[in-house]
Amino acid sequence: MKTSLYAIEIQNLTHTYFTKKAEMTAIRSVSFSVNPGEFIVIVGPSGCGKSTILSLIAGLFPFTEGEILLFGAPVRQPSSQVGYMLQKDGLLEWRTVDANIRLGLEIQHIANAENIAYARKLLNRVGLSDSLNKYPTQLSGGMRQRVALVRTLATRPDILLLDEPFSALDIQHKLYLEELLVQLLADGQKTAILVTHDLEEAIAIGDRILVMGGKPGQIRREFIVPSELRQLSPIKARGHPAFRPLFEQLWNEVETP
Amino acid sequence: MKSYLKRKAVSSAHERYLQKLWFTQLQVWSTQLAILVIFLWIWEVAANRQWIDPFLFSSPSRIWSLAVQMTLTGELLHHTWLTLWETIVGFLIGTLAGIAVAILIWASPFLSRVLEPYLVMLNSMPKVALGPLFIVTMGAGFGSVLAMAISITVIITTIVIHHRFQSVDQSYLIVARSFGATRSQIFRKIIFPASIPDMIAALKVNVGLAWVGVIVGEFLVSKAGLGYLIIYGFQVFHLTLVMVSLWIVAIISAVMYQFIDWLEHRWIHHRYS
Repeated sequence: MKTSLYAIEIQNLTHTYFTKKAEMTAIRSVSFSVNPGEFIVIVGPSGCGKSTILSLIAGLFPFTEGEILLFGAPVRQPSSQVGYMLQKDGLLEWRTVDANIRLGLEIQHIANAENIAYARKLLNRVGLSDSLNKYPTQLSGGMRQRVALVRTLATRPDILLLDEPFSALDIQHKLYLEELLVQLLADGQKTAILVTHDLEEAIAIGDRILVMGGKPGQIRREFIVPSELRQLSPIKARGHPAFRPLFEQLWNEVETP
Repeated sequence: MKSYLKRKAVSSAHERYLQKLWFTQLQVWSTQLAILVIFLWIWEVAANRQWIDPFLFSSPSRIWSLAVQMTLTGELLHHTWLTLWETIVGFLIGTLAGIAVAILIWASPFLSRVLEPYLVMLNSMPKVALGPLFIVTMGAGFGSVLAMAISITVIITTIVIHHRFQSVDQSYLIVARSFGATRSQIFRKIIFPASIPDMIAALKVNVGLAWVGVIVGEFLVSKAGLGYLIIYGFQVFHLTLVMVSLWIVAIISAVMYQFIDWLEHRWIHHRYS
């Protein structure tokens, strides 16, 4: 296996969906690379293919053209190196929180005492250890999303793919979860790609922002978040003087058709 | 009851609320009982005063005394037990086989598409019409009655459960697949447990259907059972016997339904909602 400097390398990625009536090219010739430990945010209007890129990196279905490399290895199917989190938490209603956070461990046949203890430790980190034996219907939306985050991190993925995980939450939960996410990722030196339509969120937690647009979707522009913002926590970054100017720039870029 | 309410109540206002709930429940129960009593009473009076022909419609007291008499000879228990046994076996086999076939065709989407028109055809066909075929292949007895109960439950179970397998929440499937789950893992950990409430719902429907199959089966072939008593009573114009059998069918099928309802609540209390 050849080694790579990059955690994720995407080369000339094109994907076309086929239906009986038509074909629809969601993304065309998308290329970008992500360094290990880097936090990339992809923003853009609905239907620009943001989510498609994440599902392709997750290996959920085969892509039409191009190549995706994770630490130098081509993606052909879902990998245990990748954790994937969606806006819909997908918590199994018939399992307790404890059983839900073990799902990935069970599927990957690594549900040993050490890993289960690790998952419970993560649950403690997100402040939900007293909900261990509750069922998802007994939890609020924010709590459910925290459980989903723990479930995703429990298998210790190196790469985290986040598809608008916080967009259904109220602002308080959203900020709290952003803080948690940034802390948890910093602990593990994880690489992450977040897809969102919330530009403030993008600046507050990203290291680099890719703006997508058009049909089929392409990368229109790239913004590097200045280091003084990167060092701050998401809530503090929102109050920094450098925040607004970047937000204006980003806003103009996303708005223009 | 008072002390039970007190134990559960967290405050005096809550206690009043619980009392109100309990009072409403009592009202519902007593109205239900009153309807039954009044219905039986009108029936009895109408039969005694010849408003209705007691020979055709019998009367509660005639039905009761025949039921007591047949219970004492052990005859009633014999017929009831046979029919109950046929129904339980028929509905369990029909439901389990239906679920098994649903799993099989889930496992192979190709097979599922191939079998679809056959399933639709078999489902819309009145299974009772298969009676003669069952009799010539399995003889006029237990086997044919059972086959009738199974045939009436199995196809609809297959269709309903297979449809349920296919409509499991996509986000569950994406989560499992992103962890690298195999198709068999997806089935065991997601699709099957997600469908358990629907399987219990299928049991509920199938109780009623299995009774139809068994009673019709007994009409056609049997020398014993409640269906046989109904058809025999009709042939010799002993309609009190028909009424006794009808009441027993009504009571037992309601009890079976309630049992599955209880099972449902116990099993899946707050897990699925």
